[in-house]
Amino acid sequence: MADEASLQLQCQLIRANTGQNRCSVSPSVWKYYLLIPTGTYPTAAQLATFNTYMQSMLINDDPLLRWHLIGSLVGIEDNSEDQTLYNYQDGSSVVTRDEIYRWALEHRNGKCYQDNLIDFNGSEGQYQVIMIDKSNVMWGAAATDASSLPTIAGATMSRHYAGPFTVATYSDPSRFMVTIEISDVTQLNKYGRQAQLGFNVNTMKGVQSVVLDDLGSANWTTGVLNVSAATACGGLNFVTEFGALIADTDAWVVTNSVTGGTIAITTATALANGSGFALDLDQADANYPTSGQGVDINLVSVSALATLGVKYYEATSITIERP
Amino acid sequence: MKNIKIKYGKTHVGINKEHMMSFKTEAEYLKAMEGKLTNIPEPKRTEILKEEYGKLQPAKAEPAKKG
Repeated sequence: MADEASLQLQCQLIRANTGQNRCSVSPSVWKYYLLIPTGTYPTAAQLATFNTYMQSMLINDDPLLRWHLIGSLVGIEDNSEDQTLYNYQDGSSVVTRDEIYRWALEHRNGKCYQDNLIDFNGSEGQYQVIMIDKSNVMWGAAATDASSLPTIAGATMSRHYAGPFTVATYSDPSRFMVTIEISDVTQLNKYGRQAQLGFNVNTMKGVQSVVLDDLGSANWTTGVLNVSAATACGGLNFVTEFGALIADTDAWVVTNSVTGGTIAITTATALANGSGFALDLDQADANYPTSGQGVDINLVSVSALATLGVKYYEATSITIERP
Repeated sequence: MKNIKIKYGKTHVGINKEHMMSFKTEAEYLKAMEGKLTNIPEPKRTEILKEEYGKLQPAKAEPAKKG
């Protein structure tokens, strides 16, 4: 039996047919790509309402589950490698390694955006990629969901690398490139799958990072702390942009930096001079820091901020120590 | 909505309603708020706190309905 199986493998007939369908589908130039946490993908049902599902994943509260939409892309350099051949002495050859996709994709979203992409360098193991072309078709790897229904997963990347910007000259602007390498091209070919998107990807929103800063005038006797909030890219001041919405005790979370216990906020004020927000903490709260402790201050989750009308932002907490 | 939203000039403030309702009397609440909300000058600051505390009292005093 083992010999028979071995014989079939060696002498396997080509089982493909080449009759043509009226509708042929070919990828057009890449316009966007999606970074999806490895091993996660939409179910067939989620694919059917992909507009809603994709947006929800782009703003997922959990950074480890969040998707990232990169683009729009304005250029591509195809640096893919041809197959590797071994040439016999009689002139015949055999393929020893298949082609490798390697695309240098260009965007014009600016340096800060590029800096964020650089943070994804070396994350090939954590993310898989779905490409979206100019015709609004997404291309990924064929997958089957838990209900045995067909769906699309990301292709495995062997490299995702964003480099430093190239400097502008009198003839060229500064340029921002990111390279995607897919060593197993079958994931987008024989074992690939595509789906036509019925919505404009350009309408999708991602999460922006927010930087909080201590304005340095904490009054531990009265429980008043002052912090500024601005987007990491562009420095959009949250007071001027969202003052009335962020002046809300529901927009902030303050915890004891030692115990982790949540401290009640009695009022949140958007300062009239635009410098930041005053947070009045409840000194009667059991978690209010004692000398030597401090507070961790953060904005609430992406979804909680969205509920307040602030879409879509995520801050990194800051700690203010109490002397 | 846990906040009472007020605007004084260019100053926007969100006041924690639950915190306010946790005080039995206006005097206790004003005492707890000493040193806070100082971006609104007196006497306006105290006026606002008193006014908002007062607005919450009917709801606070309303007995729980049965059935």
